[in-house]
Formats: sequence, C-alpha cells, structure tokens
Amino acid sequence: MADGRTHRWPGLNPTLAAGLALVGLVTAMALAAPWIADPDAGTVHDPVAGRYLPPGSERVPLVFTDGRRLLAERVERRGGGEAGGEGDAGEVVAHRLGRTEAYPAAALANLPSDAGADTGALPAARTFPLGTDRFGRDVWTRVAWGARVSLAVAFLAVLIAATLGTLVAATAALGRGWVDLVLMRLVDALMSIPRLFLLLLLVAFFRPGTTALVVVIGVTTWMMIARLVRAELLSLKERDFVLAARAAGAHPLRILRVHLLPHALTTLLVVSGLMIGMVILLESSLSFLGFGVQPPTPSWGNMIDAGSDRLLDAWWVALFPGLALVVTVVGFNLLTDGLRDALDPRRQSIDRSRFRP
Amino acid sequence: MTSYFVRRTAASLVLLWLVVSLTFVLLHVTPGGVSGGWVDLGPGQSAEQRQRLERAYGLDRPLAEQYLSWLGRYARGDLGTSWNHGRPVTRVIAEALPATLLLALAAVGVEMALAVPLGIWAARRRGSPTDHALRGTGLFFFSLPDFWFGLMAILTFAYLWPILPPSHMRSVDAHTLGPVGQAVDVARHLVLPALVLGITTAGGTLRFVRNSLLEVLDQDYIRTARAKGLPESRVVGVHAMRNAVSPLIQLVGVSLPSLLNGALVVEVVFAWPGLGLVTLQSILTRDLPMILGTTTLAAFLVILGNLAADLAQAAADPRVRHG
Repeated sequence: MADGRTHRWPGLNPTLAAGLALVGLVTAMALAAPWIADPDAGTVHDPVAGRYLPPGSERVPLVFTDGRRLLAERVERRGGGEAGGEGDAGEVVAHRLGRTEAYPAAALANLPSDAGADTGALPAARTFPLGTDRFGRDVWTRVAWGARVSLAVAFLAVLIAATLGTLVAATAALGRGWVDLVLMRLVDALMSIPRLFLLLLLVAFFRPGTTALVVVIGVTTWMMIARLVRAELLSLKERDFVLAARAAGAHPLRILRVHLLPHALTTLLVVSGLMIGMVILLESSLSFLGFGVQPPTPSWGNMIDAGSDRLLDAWWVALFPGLALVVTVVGFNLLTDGLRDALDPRRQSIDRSRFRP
Repeated sequence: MTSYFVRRTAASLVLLWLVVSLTFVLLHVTPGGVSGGWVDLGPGQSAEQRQRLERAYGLDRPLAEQYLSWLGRYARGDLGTSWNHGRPVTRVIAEALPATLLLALAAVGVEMALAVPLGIWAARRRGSPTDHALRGTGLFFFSLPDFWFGLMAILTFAYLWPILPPSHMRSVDAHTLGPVGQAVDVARHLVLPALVLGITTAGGTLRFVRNSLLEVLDQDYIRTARAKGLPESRVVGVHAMRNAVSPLIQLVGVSLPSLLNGALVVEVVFAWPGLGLVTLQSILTRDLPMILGTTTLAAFLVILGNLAADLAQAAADPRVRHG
C-alpha cells in the first residue's frame, strides 16, 4: 500500500513463540482430554478410598466380573493352586483404609498371572498424578477437561463480543452525527460500571449456567472492541482509496464491506486476542464466585472454589487448576503481545491496564 | 479552565444519568426484574396479592412516571430499602464503604510502590535483559487470577508459615485491645489482601508507566537535555517525569474499575467486610435494591474517579484544558 501500512505476515519473535507454545500446550490438553485422562470428567474412583488422595498416589484397581470397580491401596493373593484343591482360585485380600477385605478370586476379572500366585500383587495400573478431590475424582482429569470448558467459553464469548462490537462500531462510523453520539455515550456508560459488577448484575437477572455465562460475558465486554474498531474505521474513512470509492458512487455498505472492514481486521483480531486472556479470568472469577459454570461440569474456577474450603487438608485441589489458569492466561497475553509487536512495532502501548477484568 | 471544568462535569452527570437509566431498563425488561422476582411470590399467589404488590411498588403507574420517580429518588441519593437488611441501601453501603476504601487505598499504595520504580527502571534500560525481565514480570502479575493468588497467599502465610491472619478485618478479641492495638490488628489483617490486590493490579500499571515514559524519552527536548551533559538521573527524574506524570494521573482514574473488580473478589476470598462482600451476599439472596445500589455506587465511584483524574490532569497540563 502507498503509505507503507503493509500487512506483512508477522515474524516469529520470542514473545510470540513462547505464547504460541503455551497456548498450543493448553489447547492440546483440551483436545486430547479423553485420551490423556479419564474418558469422563465425572469418573468417581472409589467413593470411599479415593477421597482426597494426595498427588502421585497409586491405587490398584480391582475389576470385578460384574463390572464393579474398587481401588485398593495394596493387594495380596492368598490360597489357590495345590493348597486349595482343584478349581479353587483362592482369594484376593485388598487393603483399603487400614482394613483388609477378602474377595473370592473367581469374582475378579483382573487376576494376576499364576506365576508367584501366593504373594503376587496386582500391578498398580492407575495413578493420580495430581491427586483426587473430595468425591474421589482425579484432579488431573478435571484440569484437562476444564481446559475445554474454559477455552470454549472464552472463545464463544469473545466471538459474541467481537460481532457486537464490530456491529456497533460500523453503525456508529457510518451513521456519524447523533447515531454515533448516542452509541458512544452508551459505550461510555457501560464501561463506567466495573465489569464484574455489571456481570453480576446481569447474572442476578438470569439463571446461571454455561450458556447464560457465554452470553452475559459477551454482552458485557464488547464495548472496548467497539471503541477501538470505530476509531480505526473513522480514520480509514478519510483515506484516499475510500474517498475514491465514495466519489465513484459506491454504496456505503459496499465501502464498509470491501474497503473498511478488511482493513480494520488487524485491530479487531489484536483486540479480540487481548480479550481472551481477560475473558478466561472473568469466567474463572465468576465460576469461583458460584455464578459461572456450575458443578459437576469442571471449570478451573469452580474447581478452585471446591478446593478453597479444604486448603490445608487437600491443597492440590485448588493449586493445580490455578496453575493451569495462570499458564493459559500468560500464554494468551504473551501471544497477543508478540502478535502486536510483530504486526505493528510502532504501536506498543495499547493501554493494558484497561484489560484487567 | 472554568469552561473545561463545567464541560467535563456535565459530561460526567450525563454518564451517571445513563447508568441509572440503564439499571431501570434492565429492571423492566429482564425476566428476573420487576415482572419476575419483584412481585411474583410463587404459584400460590392470587391475582389480588400480585396487584397489591404492584401498587406497593408503584408498578401500576405509567412507565414514564415510574422512570421519573426512579430518577428523582436516585438524584436525592435514595437507593431504596434493602429487602434483606430491612434498612436503607445507603446506610448498609455506608457501613461497608470504609473497609473497601481502606483496602483500595492500601492496594493502590502497593501498586504504585511496585509499578512506578520498576516501570522507570524498565524504561531506562529499554531493550536490555532487565527490561525484558521486568516486562515479563508485569505480564505475569497481570495474568494472575486474584482469587487463586489470594488463596495461595492464605495457604502460605497463614498456615504453612503462620505469620499473618488468614481472613476478616479484626480479630475476635480485638475489642479487648487498646486503640493502638486495634489499629495494629486491622493493619495485620490488611497486609495479605492489600498485597494480593496491589500486585495483581501492578502488572498493567508497570507496563503503562514504562510505555508512557518511553514516549517522553523519545522527545527532542530529552535529547537536548542529554546533549547539554545533564546526568541521566536528572534527565529522567526531572525533565522526563514531569511530562510522564500527566498520564500517571490519568492512570489512577483509569485503574479504578479494575481496582473495584479486584476488591470484590479479594474481599470474598479474605472475608473482608466491604462493598464486594455486601454485593455478593445481595446477589446470593437476590436482594435487588441492594444489587442495583452497589452497582450504581461502583459506577459513580468510577465516573467520579475519571472526572477527578481529568481535572487534576487539566490543572497539571495546559495542553489538556485548551486541547
């Protein structure tokens, strides 16, 4: 383009690379959740023995022929073989919660091989790398599945916000005059209510739930997008190629679609990207307060809430979802920082303090 | 100056009027508003009961009349009566506000004490490893979820290494202490929430300080000052800071919303008896007058903060008021 505002593809700077790596990691975790963790986030591992296990705990799964599952701390096999006579497989003694329980070996589907049958322990197949929560659910599984919820809510909410913001910005920029004035004063008014208060105000009027959460976050965060995209559109409108199109008699909507919006896309993407980190924080704050994603659906926010009243006994329940949250938000913020530097090295000072929820 | 003052104040009043109108609209169009929870007592309610409630709340009058009386009440500072407390909303808020202001003030102190020196340091070493490390630290603070950070701070400094109280504003036996002892008691309770809130807000501020100082450092008169042979400390401390102070004033106004947001969450985590805790409780109990009252007050504080920042900036910087 004539004045040097070329849209060159961003080079890979270290910030961008670090952001991409972290965001990629979290996205991969979210996508691969069914394979790298339990296939169901609500899987309860033994309602009694599995309760509040610290990270790294190992448990021996006992799978019964009728499909029942139990987790034992240690398992021994007694009897069987020659001692018990023909056809008698002996019994399996499981140590759970300081007690011993004996089951006939015939009732078990996963008996160890006959070699060393007398003392052979069943292999500890299942471990809980991050411990379990109060219902005996694997924290790692819920962190991985929670990534899906957090990312999905954030992306959908930002999509709504970007659509609404662009719509308002385009209306204001094309309308000029009193339309512009009214819309921008509305933006000012909405932005002067602290975001969490505005969100909670809306939440109070609707029933909490994941869908409502997405919509409510979307309709409370579009204002910044509208303001920045409008400014971009207004400055674009004065550029020569737009004036030429207008002089040639093009319809305003055509000018908007062909000339204005494609050029405002960079601004839109950078601002939307900036908002993803913030929206993830908003979602988790709301879920933490109990107004966002409702249990048993796992979200990092409601997991931290669940861990907050047993901080001393089971610190891992609140710690690990929080770490996942930090990694994700840092990743998105690095990504958009790097993207902005790469796209437009001159403008490195979009006011970050406005983007804190 | 006077005309700028008048214009700016008028704009703030318009904004406030819009916010109050917005809450009115919200109340009347949403399912949980006046048509729902306000007069709906459940399935066993007779039509006559509903009418009586509507009359009591003035809902039978024309909408325009309701709107005007709504505006009139807010203009007089009457935010209605809390359903939960059975007392005027303003009185409940007035009791909670000092705790929030104390927390916010302490947090701003932490924020500025961290962000301003570190921001200046980063700007002076632009592009160096120090600058990158400081920017990274800022981004990290900025990305911390305050509620989780608060919980981890409680776990670390109240349980694992118990040097500070985990929550609330006063000890149970605080009334047995003398005035000095009570002040120390409150201060000890204040440390953790103020640090958490201050650190999470300092991230964005650090970057803001660095960037606004960098903009100034690029100016010609800075080059002149350096060319004159002035020591760098004088160039940055006197020549540059004088012009970087103007955006800093603006920043205090701008960061007020995020401070109030953060205070809400931090108050919940630390059971700090302020506006945030009151807001949360009123939402849990669906106390509509209380919710609308705290929201309007939060908006009022933000608008007031922005106005004060603008006026202070205009006083400090002639370019703004004649701009």
